[in-house]
Amino acid sequence: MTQRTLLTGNAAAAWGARLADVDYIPAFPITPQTEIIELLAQWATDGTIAGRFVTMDSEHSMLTAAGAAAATGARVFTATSSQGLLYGFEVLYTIAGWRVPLVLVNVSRALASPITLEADHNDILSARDSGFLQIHTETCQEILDTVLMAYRLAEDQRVMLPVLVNLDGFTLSFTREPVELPAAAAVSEFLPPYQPHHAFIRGDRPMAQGAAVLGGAAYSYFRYQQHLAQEKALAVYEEIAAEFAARFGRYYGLVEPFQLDDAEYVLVMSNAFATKGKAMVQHWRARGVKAGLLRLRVFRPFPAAAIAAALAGRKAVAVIDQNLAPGLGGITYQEIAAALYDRQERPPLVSVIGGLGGKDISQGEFEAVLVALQQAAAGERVPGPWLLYTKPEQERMRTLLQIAGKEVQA
Amino acid sequence: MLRIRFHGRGGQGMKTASRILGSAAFRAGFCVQDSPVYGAERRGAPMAAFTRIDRVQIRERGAIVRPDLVVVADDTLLTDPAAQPLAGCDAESTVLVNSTRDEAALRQEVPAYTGRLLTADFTAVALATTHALASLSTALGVAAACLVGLSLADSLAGLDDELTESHMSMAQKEANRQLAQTVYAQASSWAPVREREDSRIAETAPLVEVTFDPPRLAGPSIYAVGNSPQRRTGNWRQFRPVLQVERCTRCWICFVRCPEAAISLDAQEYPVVDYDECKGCLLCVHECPTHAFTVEKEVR
Amino acid sequence: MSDPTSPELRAIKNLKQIAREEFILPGTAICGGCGGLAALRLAAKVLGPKTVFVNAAGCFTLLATFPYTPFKGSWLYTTMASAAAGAQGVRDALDVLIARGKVAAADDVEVVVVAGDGSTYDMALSATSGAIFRGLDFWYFCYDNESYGNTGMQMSSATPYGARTLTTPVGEHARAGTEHGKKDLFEIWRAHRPAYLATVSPRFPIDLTNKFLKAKQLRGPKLFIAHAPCPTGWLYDPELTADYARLAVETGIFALKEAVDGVVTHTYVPRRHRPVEEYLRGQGRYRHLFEPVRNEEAIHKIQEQVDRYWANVHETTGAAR
Ligand SMILES: Cc1ncc(C[n+]2csc(CCOP(=O)(O)OP(=O)(O)O)c2C)c(N)n1
Ligand code: SF4
Ligand code: SF4
Ligand code: SF4
Ligand SMILES: [Mg+2]
Repeated sequence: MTQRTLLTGNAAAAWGARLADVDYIPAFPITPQTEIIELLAQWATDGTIAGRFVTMDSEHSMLTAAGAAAATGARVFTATSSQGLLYGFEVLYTIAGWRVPLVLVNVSRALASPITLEADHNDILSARDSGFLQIHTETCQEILDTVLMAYRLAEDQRVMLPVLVNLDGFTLSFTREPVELPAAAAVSEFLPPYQPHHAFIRGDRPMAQGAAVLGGAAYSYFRYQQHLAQEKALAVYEEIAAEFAARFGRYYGLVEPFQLDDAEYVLVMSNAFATKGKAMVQHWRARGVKAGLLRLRVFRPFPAAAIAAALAGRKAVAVIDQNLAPGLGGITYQEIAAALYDRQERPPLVSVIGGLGGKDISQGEFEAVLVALQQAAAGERVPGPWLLYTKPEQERMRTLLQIAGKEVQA
Repeated sequence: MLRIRFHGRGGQGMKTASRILGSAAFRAGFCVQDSPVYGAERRGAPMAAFTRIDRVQIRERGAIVRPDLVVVADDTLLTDPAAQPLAGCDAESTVLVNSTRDEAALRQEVPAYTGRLLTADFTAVALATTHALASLSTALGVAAACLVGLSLADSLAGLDDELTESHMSMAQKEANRQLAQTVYAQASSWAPVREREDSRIAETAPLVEVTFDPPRLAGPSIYAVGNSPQRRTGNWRQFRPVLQVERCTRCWICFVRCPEAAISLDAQEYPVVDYDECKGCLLCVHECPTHAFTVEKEVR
Repeated sequence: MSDPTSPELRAIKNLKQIAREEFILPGTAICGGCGGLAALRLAAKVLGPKTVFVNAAGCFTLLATFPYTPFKGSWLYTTMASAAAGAQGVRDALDVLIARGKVAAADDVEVVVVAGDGSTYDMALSATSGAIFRGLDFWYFCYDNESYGNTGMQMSSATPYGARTLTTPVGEHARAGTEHGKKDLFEIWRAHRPAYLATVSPRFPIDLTNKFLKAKQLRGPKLFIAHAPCPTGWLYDPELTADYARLAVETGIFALKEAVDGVVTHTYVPRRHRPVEEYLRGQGRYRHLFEPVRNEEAIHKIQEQVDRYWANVHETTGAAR
């Protein structure tokens, strides 16, 4: 029976694993992911779930155990964040190369140095070329629903790749919202048990997995197959999203258009801060500005066509990246610009960096972005990447530098 | 440009031979490139190394597919399907084979090959001068240098460059220099290899589109377990162990010690060597308490 | 764990009791005369076909080179640092799948890590410690060729004092080549109190076989360090692999022993040890100790280490010398 309750983003992720009836959960703690594994540990211990929970000695080991269990034929769930994702990085490519399905939740947290706790997306985006599919979420409900859909996607014969589900540390991980818990029976109809036909370890069906490959021709074939499977995943995702909507009444597209129909000025955002962007869009609309927002959701495979279709012909578009590639700029900006390149009606693009290390994006900063959008629409060049940073923030920073004994110019 | 390809087995020193040639050409003032290919195979397996020599900067990389000169470390490689030393060779190529057999005998093995085929027993020359099999690299490197028209002085300078980097004793180094002079004199009787007129690097092949395959195909997994004998590592062998049944006491020692599982026991518990797979490490020969194995030079 | 009363698990007394069936077939890319493969082949004869070898990057990664595998059982290549974690994932998954009726108990497999010393002694120490600490029911086969062999013979923390490698060359500041002593992995592992721990040598096949047979009766971590003479890296002729394996034991450099629940027994104690020089001499990696001038001090130091080890053994076991 469906049930409505208040859950944090972390708890919603754990509930996703619980409803997916996973067999195995290797874990390693890192703030802000801990609550996910704590809940699952409790459920595994008291028999609420049938899956086995094991604390590993590192994320590298955790991801290896996760991939190996998936390669054995189990449905596997695990979760990590920032430093942990990077610590296990080589294993991401390994698992994708094995072509085994699992769901890995990443709770975004900015990367050291300097070490910090709050969210930005350099961690998750570093994995964009790993072969994992990637879905970014905005609400606690969406986290739970996405974990369920991710298993369907990962285990589909046309895909057979692992999936990363992203949620923001603190702003979602520790934030409670009402969440509708689908009935277990309905979920098991949507998501039947995993039955591997290609990857298994068992006495009656021996096989070699992850064999060394020599020669670029063989390597090219296998690596390119990951790309072809990701491309297929776009259509497979749409099927799954439609079925999910039919069963549970909530639809999640590859991207989420928000008040886009007649929008002239568009913000492109992802994850939890997209909520703030939506509020601004409503605020601007009330003022008569035709604003809209495009939220990036499925990030791998990259839905270039859907994005280009949503943005083509707008007066101006601001891509707000909550990440930074030093020496280049915003990461999603690059990808969106590339998606628009071959379109006739390319809108002017403004590259904005905001919310690094969990820094707030205030109303004033959004207003400044709107001004920049209007300038860009009028044919002015807005140089990017443009870091959103307020005067009080700068003043406070100067004080901190002074306290740290540094020579700050007045 | 001159393109020279060396074929040998891991451990036979063909990488060094390609470097001796490279260093010699470099000493002579040419633009040079040399590189070995690394495969999965270890010591004993067929391998190749490449040297390119030109007057101008070399704008090629990787394997040489249309060689001017091919140097083959021993004649068992000539028809080896893994080594394929004659791949890309044509009427304008020169192939130099280290062998005890003469040109006519070798030609019978490779009837399709129309280019020049030179042969000499470099192993015998090397052993006579240095008493070390490892000096085959010196012999073949210098022979190649002579064949591409480099002077004796440059060849020796190139050899010296390689020798300084090795852990050889002074006496061995001197013996290698001696060997180089002998081989150079011998190779001088052959006409030098000339550059090709046409500068095509390789034949062109049509392109195809790679399309989606289901996951059973699309990952580096293997369902045909235990299929490695298809690789036939017997082609690594330079010497073969041959059982003299009358001396065998059926003690099982060779069967137990062969790392490769290339020895099985027949119904009477006599060892049977699987020559398709035996790599010729000769451990069984060394370990047999009654010396029941003899060693024969491999001929294919 | 197998039924300990089963006659197949009784200790063997002579060579002819070794299984004739092969579980690792020929045709691999491994060097001819590889001591590590010789040991693994014998181990596989006890483990049988229902086995998955979980591998860390090293020479043996090339055993399964697409599209070929020499194994009759399964294979899973992981990474250099995490084969033991891979074993954990496989073992746990099988346990759960069997418990949940998704895999038949008869289709269970032995989970066996195959990793080199560089992986085991260095990068994978954490993952392996974790698996042993968790009491994982698995096997660990470390073939110790005392170097990073696959990358061409560089120093690992298993490289013994006095051996030359490509990253511990001989020179003005390091006349012995490798100046560190070999890490004592046996004792590190023993401190974890695994169910079973042993050293094995390919040249002592009965001892090797019996150790695997004994371990087969136990549940929990079953750990093996195999002496793995390596013609390619140690620079000697491949036919001499068994000789060097024998000399390592007869000189006392490599001690054959086991530890059940932490209690150590030496399974072969030579009456008189041969001088270490007999083992060192002839291996290219030790040549600088003898040529061009003899490095008496280094040779003596190696002998002394061996003597001290065995003096300690005799003292603690009270065994006659
Ligand atoms: C993370 C990582 N670092 C480095 C390597 C390169 N590497 C591959 S095999 C190897 C040596 C492994 O040594 P060992 O475990 O002793 O096995 P052996 O090669 O001797 O068989 C190294 C360093 C790697 N594969 N992965
Ligand atoms: S080791 Fe020698 S005597 Fe023993 S079985 Fe083999 S060939 Fe026969
Ligand atoms: S030479 Fe002997 S020991 Fe070596 S692979 Fe051949 S049969 Fe086995
Ligand atoms: S390098 Fe040594 S350990 Fe590696 S395969 Fe060759 S002989 Fe075996
Ligand atoms: Mg090693």
